[in-house]
Amino acid sequence: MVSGSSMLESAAPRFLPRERFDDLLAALAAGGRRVVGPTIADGAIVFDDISTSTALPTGWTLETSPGRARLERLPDGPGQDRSFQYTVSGEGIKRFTFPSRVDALTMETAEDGTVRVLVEAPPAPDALAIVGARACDLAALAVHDRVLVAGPAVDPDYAARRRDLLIVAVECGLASSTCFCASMGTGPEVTTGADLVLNELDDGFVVRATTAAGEGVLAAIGGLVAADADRTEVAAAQTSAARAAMGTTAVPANPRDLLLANLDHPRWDAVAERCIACANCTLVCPTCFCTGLEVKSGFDAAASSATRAWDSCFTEGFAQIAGGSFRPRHRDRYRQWLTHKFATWWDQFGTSGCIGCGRCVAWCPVGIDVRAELGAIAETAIPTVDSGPIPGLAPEPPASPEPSAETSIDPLAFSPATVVSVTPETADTTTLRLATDDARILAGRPGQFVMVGVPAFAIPPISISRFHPDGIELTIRAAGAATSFLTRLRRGATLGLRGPLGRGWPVADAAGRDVVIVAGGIGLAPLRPVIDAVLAERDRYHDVRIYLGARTPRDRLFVDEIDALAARDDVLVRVTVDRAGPEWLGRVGIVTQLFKTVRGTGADATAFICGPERMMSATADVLGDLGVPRQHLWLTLERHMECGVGLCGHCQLGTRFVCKDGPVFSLAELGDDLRREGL
Amino acid sequence: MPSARRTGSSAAQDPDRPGSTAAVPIIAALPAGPRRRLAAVMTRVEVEAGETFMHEGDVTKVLSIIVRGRVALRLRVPERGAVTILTLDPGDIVGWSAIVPPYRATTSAAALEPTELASFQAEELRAILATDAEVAAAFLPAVLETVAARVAATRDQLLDLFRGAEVDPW
Repeated sequence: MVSGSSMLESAAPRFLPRERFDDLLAALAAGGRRVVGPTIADGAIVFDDISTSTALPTGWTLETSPGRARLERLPDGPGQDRSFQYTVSGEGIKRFTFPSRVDALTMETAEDGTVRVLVEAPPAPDALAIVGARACDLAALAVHDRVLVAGPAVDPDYAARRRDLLIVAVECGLASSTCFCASMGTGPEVTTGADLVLNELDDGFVVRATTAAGEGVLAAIGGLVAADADRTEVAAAQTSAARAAMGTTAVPANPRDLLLANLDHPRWDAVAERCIACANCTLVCPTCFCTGLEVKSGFDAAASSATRAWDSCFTEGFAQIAGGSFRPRHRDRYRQWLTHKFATWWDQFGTSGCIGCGRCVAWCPVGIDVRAELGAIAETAIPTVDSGPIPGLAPEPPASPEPSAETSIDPLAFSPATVVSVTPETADTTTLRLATDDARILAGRPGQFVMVGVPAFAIPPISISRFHPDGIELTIRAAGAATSFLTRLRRGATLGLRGPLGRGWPVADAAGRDVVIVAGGIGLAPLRPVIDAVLAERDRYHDVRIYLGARTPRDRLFVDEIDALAARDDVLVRVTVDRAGPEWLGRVGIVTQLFKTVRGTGADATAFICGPERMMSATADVLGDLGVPRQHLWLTLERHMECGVGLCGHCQLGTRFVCKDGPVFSLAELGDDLRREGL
Repeated sequence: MPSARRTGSSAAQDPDRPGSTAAVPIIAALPAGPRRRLAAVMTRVEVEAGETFMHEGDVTKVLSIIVRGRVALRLRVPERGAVTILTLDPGDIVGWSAIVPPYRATTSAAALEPTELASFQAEELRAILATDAEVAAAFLPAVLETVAARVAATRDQLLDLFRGAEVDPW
């Protein structure tokens, strides 16, 4: 660290003559550091390795407008030899800090038959210098820092790549029609995140060091003199002109409240008429961080490797679960993307997800402009109401009395488990009893889940259906390739578990109250530990009522256990099926019909509900009509999950990540989001 | 219902007497006038477990309110036999088609356990509803509520929410 006085002294801007730019590149490359910067390839400006200034897009600019980005020659005259006379490249610097594909883990079956899930070690910190990042790029990097390393879960690959990054920023001296960083408060001035900041002039650069590392680079170049006042004034004037060209009102004030109050605005349908869901906007967006795991294996399925790859909320499979997609329409996907960027990002991360670079505008093949879409919604908006402090900025105490469990979980660490017994439950559902000595898993709570890894298959999230002192049970329905394989495992097989994940059922919320448990189909599996917990301390609860729905009598789970429960005089059990033959003498009909035969459920009850979302919604309605308070109506949501810790982005529901904020929520927490289509 | 055993003639109006309207859901909740006039034509019927007392497609001769027991509504599917699509519990109406043209049963009805019904003869009930506006105004909403709830429940069943996966995300 330099002392305060020398810092002041050294902070004075220097002048880097254009002919000495290669000295800057050489200084950056000292010690084997890799240097990337803007260059021209395939008719576009891209970031790639550069060793001399000849690689720079000198004499070129990039004209952008909605749906258009074209390289153009700079006009003859002063400034025709500038190298950074454009605004944003098509792709930012994201591919160096958050590459589109990285090795994530390997899964293999050892010779003794045990399965190991090995997390790839993060890459050795790759000494890297990036030249030519803009204020918006740095703002995007700060957003990624918040999302990927500020916790609770940390992306080890990103953290490693980020650790030793040297950044030479260029302050924009012009603005494109697609730029709106000034409206988002992220530019064009470079105020943070860079080691060196350049302002390009016709004959060279005003350069200032903003960190000790940046100062070290200037020292290594050597012989630089202080920039004279004329040059620093021109530099400042250029930046001011860029700011003035953009204006600061490209997006409506408080887009968060605007969008959250207008989730049903007709504009979503209008934009869906044009949006082709190509995902280009998410690919060029420097803050988009959603990823999926791609698993590859040989035919023998003995080993496989998984790659973490960029994914997009515009793809059809992004919100897919076994029962279907939560966002089947383009309208749903566009709304998800725009509301995430401008609204729910605030709730999740305390910052905007849009930094105003305008790449999504330029690279949208049909020219959809987020500024125009926001403006159109604002023009005919439902007035926003004061929604109170943004949770990300002013954290509210958790609504659940149960603490969240995600802290200190390594997002990728798997531990081995062995199948000690297999119990077929129905034609497509099997319970595996697993032995594990993973203390964290054994200390899990009802409603939590684990990610289950076996070689050659995707890694599904599975709810824990029972806890034992030496292991857990997983009740799995064969819904796809991975779950089908898991239901066919035999005694002695091993697999990898990661967890326990998510916020469980707040069983303590029911202490001293009536307990109502409502399960549909496989939804009984995550509620079974609640039943276990309640019965283990039966005296703590008043009436206990269990209502179960299944598709047919043959699809009922844990039949013997449920029959035994029904025989107890301190638990009421009601079972119904959706359809049955004449041999079934029990009830037929949807599960909500069970409530009409029972009196006494009301304000003193805490309800735990799990099943298809429509069934839960109908159940919550009926229980609400009976007087069960919304804050005591708990249900668990199913969403697509690739990571389980809030890093992959798939399981978003409005302001929440279902994996880490849930999967258990109260109806009071979910509000209207439970029944809003396409969210 | 030839084999059903009638347990009493017209129900009494004394709420303390066994078999009075006080024990009959829906009817017990009606205002005094309509309750009295309906009770005068109501009979108590016991149905044995396993007995089918209404047949899909037949003219519905009786509208009943279940007082005790459980009733299965069934449809006949030639390839699958009788399929139970709904079971009814005390308080439910069975045979609403007795008062809705074309007065044909939309399902069969069978008692799953010993069941007690409070029943109205179709033609008698229709005559009262056509002439006694006070009874109609009190009773028909309850019937409509039953039919509406059954339509809603049937729609949910139609969705087959617990069916296995159609797609393959994992």
